[in-house]
Amino acid sequence: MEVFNTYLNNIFAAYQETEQALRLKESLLMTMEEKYRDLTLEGLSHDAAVGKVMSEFGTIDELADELVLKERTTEDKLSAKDEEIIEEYQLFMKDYSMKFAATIALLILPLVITIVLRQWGGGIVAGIGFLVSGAIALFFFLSLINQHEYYMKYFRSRELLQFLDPGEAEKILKDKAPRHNRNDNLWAKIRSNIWLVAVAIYLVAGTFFNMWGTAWVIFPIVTALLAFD
Amino acid sequence: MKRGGGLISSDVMRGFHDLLILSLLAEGDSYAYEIGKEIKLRAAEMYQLKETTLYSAFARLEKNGWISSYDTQETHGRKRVNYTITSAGRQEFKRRKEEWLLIKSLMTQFI
Repeated sequence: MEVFNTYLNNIFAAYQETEQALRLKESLLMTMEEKYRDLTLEGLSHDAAVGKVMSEFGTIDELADELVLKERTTEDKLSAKDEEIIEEYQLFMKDYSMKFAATIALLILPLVITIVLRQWGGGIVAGIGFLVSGAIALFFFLSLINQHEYYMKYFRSRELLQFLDPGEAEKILKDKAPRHNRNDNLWAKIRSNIWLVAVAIYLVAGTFFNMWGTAWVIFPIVTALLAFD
Repeated sequence: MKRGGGLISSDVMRGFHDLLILSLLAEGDSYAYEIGKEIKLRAAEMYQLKETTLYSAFARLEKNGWISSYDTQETHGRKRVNYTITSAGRQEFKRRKEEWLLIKSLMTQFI
């Protein structure tokens, strides 16, 4: 009967469609129909019989507890690519804070190199040393940030936030929530464009104050700032 | 929801569901609805099992190897799941029955 079938379909929708689950569902349907038939033979109306069958059904949790049924989990909905990326991400995050610290150190390095080379080899050598070490540091830094951003975007678009690092998932959820605080808003705006702001400051400091070396400090500072946010 | 639809609360009866089903299957193979109906009939409105309680008991008994199930074709071409008691089930039934008789004689010393 359609009414019992629909009822059972709704109840079983939360569980995996294993052979065992299907067999159980079919058997339950038959039991309900037989019960209904007997009740109507006893003289009950259609509505009264359906109501009685439903009320004597019980709760599906009781059955699920006996491990007859397995709940549908998010794992069932993951594509092969999702699984691959999740695994990659977990590897990536394993030593993320160490990589981050190493990158900050790498960003400080051009400053040290410039100072040392200036004393030893003069302006041109110091300039070349700064450019080379700066380029290397920036390369590592940007690829790290890029990779991280890629995972964040992927998990967000696929709605797989539960696989993110708890702290990072929290950040994403916080960003999604509406903000009422004005200060918060301003900080959010700055933060989303922080690298643009940092590069602008660096260029201004370099061009107008000729602080190409010293102003570099903005990059490690901003990186550290983001890490502790 | 303490009551299973009768006078005796289902919490009290929980431990006895296996014994009830084993005792009925010891009399012969049967299927879910028939067992449920038989329990209701013999309990004479004192106790009634919910469907899910009955089915979870079947699952538990089958997992323990005390009963096993097999399908038969019904007239409308549908399958019916039948249950039969295994020899391990008969042993368990005997053990639980003796245990119950002990409990019964123990309780009559007090009440």
